[in-house]
Amino acid sequence: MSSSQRMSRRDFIKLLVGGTAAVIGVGVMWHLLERSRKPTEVEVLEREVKKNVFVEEGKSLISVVRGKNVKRVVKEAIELLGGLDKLIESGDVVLLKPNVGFSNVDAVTTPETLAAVIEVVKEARPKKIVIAESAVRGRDTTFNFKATGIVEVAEKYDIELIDLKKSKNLVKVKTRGGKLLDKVSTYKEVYDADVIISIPKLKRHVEATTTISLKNMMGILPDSEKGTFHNLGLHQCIADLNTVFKPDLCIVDATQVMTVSGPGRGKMVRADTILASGDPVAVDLIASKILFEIEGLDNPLERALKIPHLRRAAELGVGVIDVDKIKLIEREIS
Amino acid sequence: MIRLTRRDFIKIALASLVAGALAKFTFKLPKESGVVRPPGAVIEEEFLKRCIRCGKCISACSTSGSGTLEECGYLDGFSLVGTPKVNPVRAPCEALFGKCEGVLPCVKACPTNALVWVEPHQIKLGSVKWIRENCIAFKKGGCLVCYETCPLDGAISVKEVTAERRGKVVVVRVPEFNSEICIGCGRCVNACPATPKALVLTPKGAKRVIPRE
Repeated sequence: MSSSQRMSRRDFIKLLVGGTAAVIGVGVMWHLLERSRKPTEVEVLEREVKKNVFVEEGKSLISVVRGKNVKRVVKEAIELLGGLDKLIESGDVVLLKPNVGFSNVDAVTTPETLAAVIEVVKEARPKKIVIAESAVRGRDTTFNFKATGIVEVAEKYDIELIDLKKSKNLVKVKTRGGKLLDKVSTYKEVYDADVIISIPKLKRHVEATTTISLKNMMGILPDSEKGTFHNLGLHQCIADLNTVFKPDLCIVDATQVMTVSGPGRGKMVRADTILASGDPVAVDLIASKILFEIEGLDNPLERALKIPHLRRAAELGVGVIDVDKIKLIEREIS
Repeated sequence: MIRLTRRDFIKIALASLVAGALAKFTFKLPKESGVVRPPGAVIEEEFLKRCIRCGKCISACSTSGSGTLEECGYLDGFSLVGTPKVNPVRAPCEALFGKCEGVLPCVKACPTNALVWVEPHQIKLGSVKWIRENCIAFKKGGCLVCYETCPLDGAISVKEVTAERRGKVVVVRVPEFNSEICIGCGRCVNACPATPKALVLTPKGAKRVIPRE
């Protein structure tokens, strides 16, 4: 090797190759270091699940109230179950989970129904009430809130409206005997709620057959977790999710029912009905039956009994699917 | 000063040619303008002249829009670098049925009229290509999220086809895409839970603005 002032071509190439190798080497080391630094295990939390408080003689209560005045109908439906004092304590954070997956009014829980529920819940004087939603994949939740009139309701009653998709507070929570999922990802805002009230719209669903209280709980998940559900098996995952995030009260908005197709668009039929229950499986069974009746299908109850996610949720003890274990209270109010 | 012999000169010239050709075929540079442009984009030839690569539409999209816009990179084609493209994997375009309807922050931010104001009915960014082999609905069922999330009636419908699963021929329900109705917002592409995605947004059929002068 010459030690002259001028660099030889050979030395230059050596330097170039050596330099490149060094840069790549450092890069690889850095990458490995970064990877080893990432936390591999996130703490998996547990959540207490309340037993259904709306029972009578061991049967799950379901109230089905028909009438045009939504406020009175919702109030009556909840009173027929025995009122909210059984469920809500003064220190509780109550999470309302309407279905605001879409931006067209047909496909979401109507603001009137949500407002009526808020009025009844407020009377029970919880510490805090929040409305939370994570819209369908590909949809903007905040836009849906605005487009469907949910924002006005939240403002009127001064209730916090949470677009979960904008939250960064992700948590993992253990399921209770889930078959495909031993844990689910959701948001801290949902995990922190003491009482969950599912307020779904009664709709047809292309994959889930019907989307009511159980399916509505998918709206507490981040988009990535919803994707996992479709990859692993939708019906079983819905059941698994509801083992740990079981709604404590379900108020099904069947004022306008989406029939024939859904969940985005379908044939809208006015039914002026509200169903309420503490058992998401039982109420989904009865609501599905009502939907099939509206569609004019034969054997509506048998069809409802066959919906896979209902059966699987019942198998996991989320609720009952046996009509002998359900007590229906029906009312019509003017 | 290095003096090249004729022989060396020819050697270098030949080597560069071979290297260039190799690079071209190895990296498979995509044909220019295979990217989906933001709403209101003028025809591509004019767009490339007008766009000054300032990135204002992209920042407007990320602050007031959905954040779908990003800069084209070298893999999109050398002459496209720095120009905006819609990437539905980041987010769908909200110009229709979304928060940008009647607002179009990207268009308003453009200082050179590469993007010009368009009415909602003039918006069509492209269409969607379905890759059956990746589709969960086709492979095992339990998914039609694209159909669920599509805001347009008839752009995606559900059809029954036969498929082979575990050696048995069964009827499966899959999405069917109507490119006449589709406006290329990319919600379905964004929503597709398959890895790799079963849907790709392409500029095919895009409505581009023809400048007056």
